Amino acid sequence: MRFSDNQSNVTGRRLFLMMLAAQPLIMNGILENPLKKMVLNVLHDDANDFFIIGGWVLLKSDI
Amino acid sequence: MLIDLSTLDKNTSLKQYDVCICGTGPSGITVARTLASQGLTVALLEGGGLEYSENSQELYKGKNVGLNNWDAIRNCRLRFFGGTSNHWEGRCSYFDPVDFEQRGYIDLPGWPISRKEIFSHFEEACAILDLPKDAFSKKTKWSGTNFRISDKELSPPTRFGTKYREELKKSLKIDVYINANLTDVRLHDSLNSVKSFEVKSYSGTAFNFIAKNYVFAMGAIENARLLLNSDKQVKGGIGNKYDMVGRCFMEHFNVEFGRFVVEDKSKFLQGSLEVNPSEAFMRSHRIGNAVLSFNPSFSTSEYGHFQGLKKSVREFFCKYPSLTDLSRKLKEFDCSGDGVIRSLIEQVPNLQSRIMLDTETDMFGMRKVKLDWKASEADNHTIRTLGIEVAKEMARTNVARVQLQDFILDKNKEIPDYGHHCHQLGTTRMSADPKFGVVDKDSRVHGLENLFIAGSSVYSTGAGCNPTLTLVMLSLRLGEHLAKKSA
Repeated sequence: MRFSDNQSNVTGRRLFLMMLAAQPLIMNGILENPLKKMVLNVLHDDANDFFIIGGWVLLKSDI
Repeated sequence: MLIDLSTLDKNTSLKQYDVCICGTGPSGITVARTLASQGLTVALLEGGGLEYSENSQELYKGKNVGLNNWDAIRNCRLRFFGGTSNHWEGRCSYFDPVDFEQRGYIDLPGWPISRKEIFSHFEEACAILDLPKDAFSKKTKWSGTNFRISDKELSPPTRFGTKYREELKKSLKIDVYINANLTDVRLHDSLNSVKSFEVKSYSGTAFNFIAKNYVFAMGAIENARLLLNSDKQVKGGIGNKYDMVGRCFMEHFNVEFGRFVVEDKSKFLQGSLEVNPSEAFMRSHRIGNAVLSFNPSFSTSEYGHFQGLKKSVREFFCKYPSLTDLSRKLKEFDCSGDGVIRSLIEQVPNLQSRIMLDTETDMFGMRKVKLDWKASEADNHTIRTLGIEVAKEMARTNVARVQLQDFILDKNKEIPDYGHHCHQLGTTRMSADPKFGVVDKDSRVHGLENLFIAGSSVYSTGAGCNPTLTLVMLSLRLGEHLAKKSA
């Protein structure tokens, strides 16, 4: 799960974000209204350097 | 000398003292020792015995009608010789300059004394708490902007009852009375000074302790409760002309902000990382002080049967956050580098957060405590701002990535659990103006010439740090003041 882990490097980060982004589709029915939650959290991105997705506070450069 | 009040005959005539102190925790013992070192005679009263007993501890029972149904009224405090230091964890830190400033978002006045006045006792307090000589001198590099590394030290921890028992027993100036329960404060007819403390043993035998000056050092809950209960001569209780006794009860919130994954292990050399908001950040965002703790696990958890297999499966899931989230819905487990963010957050002094008296009485006929602990919108603002900004700071500095709980990001969601730290502060707050506090800048109860209060109940604000070091410094200051007053 660590970003800089040998087995979870840049590719891992991309995978991580792709999976986060796909979460509303994959996990629909598991999370309560995930799309709404995701949009709501992105609205909290008050500085352009950050994404807030699924509660995770990420740098744009994490992509 | 050590005297068990329950062994004294009811006709025993007690000597008169320079100062009578009620409470043998860090405050009471520190004030007593300071006075004795200046040649003053002291009666030091302890409601419990030398060791823990259910009989004494039961007297701490009370009711909470406020936040979290805070069940710590009885269990956070200890009612025997040495007081709550008997289970203190030993964390020491100190107030920042910003904690002494008049902050615009706090409706009540701040401290009427300067940080410098308290910190003149810093070295002596560190020695009392058995902190190393170079305490607080270690500086850690930090590349953040809105947060800084917490400056903290660990006391062994000092158990005041154990450390000072022999010294107090042998003292020619201090008489320690155990099983001595303060049940009433009697005033002179003028109502502007204390005449005596009524003190009872568990058998109900009453004694009157007479001194030139008197000190309450029983902790923030009992100090307020005893003042409110002493209402035979003054309606509403002693020192309560402006209805301030018991108000502004403060704790330190212990909110779990969310979880994190470590990115840069080197920042966790001591196993954990603790940060405070910078003073500039606090001022600009109008928030309170805090300590935010990141304590990661550095191994994938393994336990029970088939440990190797379980570990391999968990490590696989731990590599992919979405899989981790999904699998954790079936069973909770830790991943290497995972952790939960914990906090110690300052609470704004709030008139509605208060100690009152219940209708139920204890074995001495005194009304039990009823606590209504409340958080305010200013507190919620502090909690949410700290959560969002520390998450950004961790990402910006590449130390960790944080997943915040939804109530941090969504103002419309209630904070489900404020947590606590067993810190009780502010119920007899210090203020130059009696309309906004119970004691003046010398810790003297407004309107009374010879009643003083020691301990964290006098805190005007709670800061974002563990209270004991400051409490000891204030007690040294009070001891010095009383010695000068008595000279």
